[in-house]
Amino acid sequence: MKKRDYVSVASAVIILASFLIPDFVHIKPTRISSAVSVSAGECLREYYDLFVISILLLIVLTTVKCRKSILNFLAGLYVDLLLAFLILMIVTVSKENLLINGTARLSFGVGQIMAIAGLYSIILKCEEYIQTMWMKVFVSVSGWLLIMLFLLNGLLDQYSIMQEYLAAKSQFFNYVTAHLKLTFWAVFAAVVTGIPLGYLCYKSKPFDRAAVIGLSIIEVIPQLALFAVIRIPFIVLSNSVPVLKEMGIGGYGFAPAFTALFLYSLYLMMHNSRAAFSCVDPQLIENACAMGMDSKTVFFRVQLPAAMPVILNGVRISLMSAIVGASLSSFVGAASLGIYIVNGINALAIDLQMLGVIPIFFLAVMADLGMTLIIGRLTYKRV
Amino acid sequence: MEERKCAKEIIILFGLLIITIFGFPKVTYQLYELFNMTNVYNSSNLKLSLLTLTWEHIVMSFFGCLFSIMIGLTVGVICTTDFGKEIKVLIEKLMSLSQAVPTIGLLAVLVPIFGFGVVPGAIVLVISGIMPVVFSTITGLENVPAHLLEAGRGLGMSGWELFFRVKVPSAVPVIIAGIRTTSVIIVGCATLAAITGAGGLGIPIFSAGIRGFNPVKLLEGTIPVTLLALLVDRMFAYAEVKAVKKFGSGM
Repeated sequence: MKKRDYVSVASAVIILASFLIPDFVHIKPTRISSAVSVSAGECLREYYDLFVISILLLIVLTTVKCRKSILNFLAGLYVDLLLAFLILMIVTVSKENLLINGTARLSFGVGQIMAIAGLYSIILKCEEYIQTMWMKVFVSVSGWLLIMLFLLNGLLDQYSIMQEYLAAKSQFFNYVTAHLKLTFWAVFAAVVTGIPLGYLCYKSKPFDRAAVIGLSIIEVIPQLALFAVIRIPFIVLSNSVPVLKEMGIGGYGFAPAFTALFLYSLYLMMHNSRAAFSCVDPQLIENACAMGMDSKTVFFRVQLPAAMPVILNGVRISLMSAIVGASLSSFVGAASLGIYIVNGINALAIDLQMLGVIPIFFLAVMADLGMTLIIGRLTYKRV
Repeated sequence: MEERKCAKEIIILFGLLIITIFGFPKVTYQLYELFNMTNVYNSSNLKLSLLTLTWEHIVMSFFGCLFSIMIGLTVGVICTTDFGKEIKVLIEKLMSLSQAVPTIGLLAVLVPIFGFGVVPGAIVLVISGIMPVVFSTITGLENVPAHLLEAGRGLGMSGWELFFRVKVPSAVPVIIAGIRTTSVIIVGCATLAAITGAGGLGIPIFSAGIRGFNPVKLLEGTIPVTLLALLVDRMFAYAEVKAVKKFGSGM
């Protein structure tokens, strides 16, 4: 069966088209000056032909690859290389030709975004048809690893986000660790309290009814409002209990941000573990009882393991949404990567906002990926 | 039974919302007294009526929902056709990646491009709310029981008839569940749109809860938003119960 992968071919054609768009990259001499649009031909110069030829080759490759695993693997690797070198060469060549000096910054134009999206969608399509696991992983990570390598060597420093990073280098990792700490403790606390509470919901009907009302309010309250409302009790508390004020717990900082994130994760965890426990096959429990297990053994040997995949999925979702949600915590004065977003909005500086958005995005994707791997491994073992 | 309960809840929530909108301005002074901030009451002369704000919020959320549902349904249906099977991987990846971007960061990107106003707010609402509709449409249409499809084919239905007479009815409950999630998300997210100057109940929340601190103004924004979201949630729950009754449980 020779079924061609038309989506990949179409993406390859789109990449070729993106080279013709006059707005390929933006160049700004400084952050506040207005951007100059540069086309692919102008910024790639002598390498332009080379890239066009390699994209034509890509079109041919995507046309012949069909659904064969090995050809898809090769095509995927080729696209990975193309992606990394496209990003690298734009900087290198424009630096050589003095289009940009040391402090000038490049940012993605429409053309480059189109090209990257096209390349990435070919990678995804290739991954779909690869049968072997290690090949799949290799194709999906090697492009990003190459880009990471270039980043670490300072080859991409001319990109606007890297310029912002270099300016904020001394604090950046403090904010990353603060962000991770905040989300970790919130999710950890939610897991520790949410699973027993979810079990309680499953066990007792009246508690369940009360919990559902509370949970649905936390669910529908907008996150921004949750962060803000949580400040009210903290301010009242710290004004009435001087000990707390001395400890620095008040309407501003870590405490309200932690509580808001905790409540939000708690909602997800409780909801999930409640569903997980009620989905356990009652026959399993009956069998276990018939074998003479007492209720404690039944819980630890039967119910908990059977509910584990769904619960872990809940942990994955709450971890991801906590990482993303923590970006709002800078509005209540807690240290997190959201600080760059807030500063960026106030200064209308898109580069600065990106320094917050992109790391948060990557942290969330990494957390998602990590948890998915853990879940996959655990469920695989059980079956 | 379930239907009755939902209807009762809808009426109660609607009543509460009306009471809040018209009653809150009357008790504002007492609330300021409660928080010991009467001086703020005299100095705060931002007089946007709660009714206007709520109306703006409802209009914005309505259009956000409408666009997300339209786009989401189209994308979901395309993904289940023969042609769309090819791009399904890309759509799914795109949707799950869209969940990893902070909403407020999206606003940050869109404001410099589209300027302040309603447009960036609406785009953000669609991006942040579209995922559940797309996924529920795909799951609903793909998990139509095989015996139903076979019976349809046995009756000599064409592809279109099969789609509209068999697949859609059995997918409706699942799709409505997705729309329910979407609309709750959108009503919540519409508060963030206040940052771009799109109006709505986000204005009191943002100006009072975040910039400076004024608990009364904060509650003035939060209570109606929460009630509104609960109301929307219950309304779709009602629709879901009705749909299950009419079309069966779907899956």
